Amino acid sequence: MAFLEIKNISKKYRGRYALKNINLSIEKGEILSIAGPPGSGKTTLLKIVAGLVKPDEGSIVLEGRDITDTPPHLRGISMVFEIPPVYPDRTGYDNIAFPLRLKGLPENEIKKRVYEVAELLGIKHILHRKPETFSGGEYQRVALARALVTNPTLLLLDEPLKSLDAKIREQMSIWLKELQRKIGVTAIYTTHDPLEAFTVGTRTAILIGGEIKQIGDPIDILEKPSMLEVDEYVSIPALNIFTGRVELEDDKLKVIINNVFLEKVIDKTLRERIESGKEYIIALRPSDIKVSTSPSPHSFQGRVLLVQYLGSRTLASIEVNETTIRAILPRGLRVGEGDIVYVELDVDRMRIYDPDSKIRIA
Amino acid sequence: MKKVKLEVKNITKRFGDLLAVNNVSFEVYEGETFTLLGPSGCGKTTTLRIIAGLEKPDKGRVFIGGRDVTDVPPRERNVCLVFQEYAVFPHMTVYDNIAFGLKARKEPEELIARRVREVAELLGLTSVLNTKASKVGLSEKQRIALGRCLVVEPEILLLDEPLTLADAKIRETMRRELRRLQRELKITMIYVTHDQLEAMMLSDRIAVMNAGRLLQVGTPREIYEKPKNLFVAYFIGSPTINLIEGKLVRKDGKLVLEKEGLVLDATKLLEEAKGVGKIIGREIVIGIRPEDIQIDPSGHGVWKGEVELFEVSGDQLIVHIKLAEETKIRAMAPFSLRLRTGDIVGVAINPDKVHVFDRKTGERIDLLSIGEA
Repeated sequence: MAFLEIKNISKKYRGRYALKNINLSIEKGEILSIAGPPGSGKTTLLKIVAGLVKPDEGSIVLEGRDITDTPPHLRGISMVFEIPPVYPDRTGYDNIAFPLRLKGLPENEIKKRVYEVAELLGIKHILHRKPETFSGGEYQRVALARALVTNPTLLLLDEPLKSLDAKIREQMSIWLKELQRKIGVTAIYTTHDPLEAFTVGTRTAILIGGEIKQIGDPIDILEKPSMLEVDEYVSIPALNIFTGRVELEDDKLKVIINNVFLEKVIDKTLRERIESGKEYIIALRPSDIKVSTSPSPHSFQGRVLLVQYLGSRTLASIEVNETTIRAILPRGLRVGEGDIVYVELDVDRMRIYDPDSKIRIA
Repeated sequence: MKKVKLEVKNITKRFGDLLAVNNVSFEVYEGETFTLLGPSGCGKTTTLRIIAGLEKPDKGRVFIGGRDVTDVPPRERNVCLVFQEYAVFPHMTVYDNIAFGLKARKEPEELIARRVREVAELLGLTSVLNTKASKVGLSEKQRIALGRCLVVEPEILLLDEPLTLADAKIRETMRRELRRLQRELKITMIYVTHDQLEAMMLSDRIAVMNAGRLLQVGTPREIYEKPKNLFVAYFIGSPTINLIEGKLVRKDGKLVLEKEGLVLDATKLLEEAKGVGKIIGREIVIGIRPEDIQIDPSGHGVWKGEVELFEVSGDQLIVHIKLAEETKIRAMAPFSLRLRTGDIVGVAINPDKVHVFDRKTGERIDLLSIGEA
């Protein structure tokens, strides 16, 4: 039995599904990331778990106990929001001590626990300062400390890093993961950024349009997206999507995109799932496209439209037969805008989606 | 010959006790995208507002096209500040939103119609011109905000973090669109952001700021490959550069970094570098970018360490490797390298990719130039 079970949860607003038949389970000591674009239902789901919103259908089971009708303050769950309310007129210490004082704990016990959690989060130096002097990361950690100090059985983190600068967000997401390893906190973490979800979470669930589209570890989701929507969502930089006619010939799969042929050897199970002569959606990430300055048997000729040097990698937009292909340039290859290059699609990295259901076939 | 469009000369601005902008000078060339980049509170927005004329500097001058505009009011500077998408008037049509600036100037109706249509065409807004602004998507709203400025043909376009509200996906598209558009129009653009990746994607040149000071101006490549100091090295690049500090000493024929009893052999990294003799005995910081480190699962390389943690970055893994108790580095690895937590791996590093900084001043030490000097 899982630590927390979210069972068949649905919620409608004005007749439209905000969440549809959500099933998730969280093990003790893990962080489950929920990644999805804005408006996909992440916050609603967390609020249902916290008891702040009542689901239309389904139940929430915590350690075997159905808590669907339990009021929020009796659930033993703490929630940290995107911009957590930290009292500006109180010191870091008083902010963190606040929930313990509400519980009427003795002052020496409060002090002990505040210092413990401040030590853990690396914020002892700001305990006697007012929030106006905190950096973004410190502010967020004070909010987190206030949630952790009550020893919640489950922590709900709703886009806690969203309003932070990019650099601090990178540090904080690693730091959260290290914290989780250290103290084994059980948490649900939401974010609109799939890569942040992958870093923080033990597992990640992809929530799009109120439905869970896939759950798994990052590499699984990245390498085997369940459907085109997931592939598009997790692909940063953006996915290249083509339409291609597919033909089967002996043990070979041929793909024809515009006037370019690609082929690869495939196994029997895949042969049975592909209909020869039909058009499919072909998706390739920019890192699956090889660019060179000389032609090869399976390459397309193209013209460089835009080069974006990003330091560790260089991203190029290349016009081929009136479609724009985005590719990561190999390190060391220097090309400029307007240059003619040759583009090769990595046939082994190519993903094939059904044009109607958009479900991945290969 | 590049023509200077904007010159900011020794600008200083104080807000009470806070020195928001500290003696900042730079030039922006005609037709380039120039980005002011730095963390919250570094002074980038104040600098932009001084250029727009919305703040008056305590000291220093601002020149646009050679003309001293320091005391010229904002509307007479011929610059336009693009506000965020939420500044679009929702009850007006897209057409009226874009036409706003021209109508305010009481331009003739047919000129307005022509300019609005041209700009709408350029921004891909033609089909929604008669739609209420409240009915269009975020990406369109962003383009409307931009269109409002383009239509008045300013000499310089100023943008203050216009993409912060958009989600990752829209942001990526907008960065590409904005870059393409700027190239097409050859407009001079000054952009403000805290996001280094955004700065790299959009800019011809970047000015890195911290705590009111301008630390380095250069192309994305110059800033990435030759950061002038520790802050720039740290701030540019994701995942962040690995920084290892210590005193460089010669011990038993080896070059080692010493710090609080910990010793890290740096012989293979530094022995070939010209001028290394002159930094022996000094407190230094070595910087190595994660993508310049290759992991060898069989344990060979410059150093050895234990795999501690993984992150995922799109198409690669970021592997955290513990070299010693307080010394950890991050390296990139393909998914196919099946590593597990606890594995002992070697790391190979190309000595040419090693950056060296002075620990006290934070300034870059160019070993080659020391050798030549």
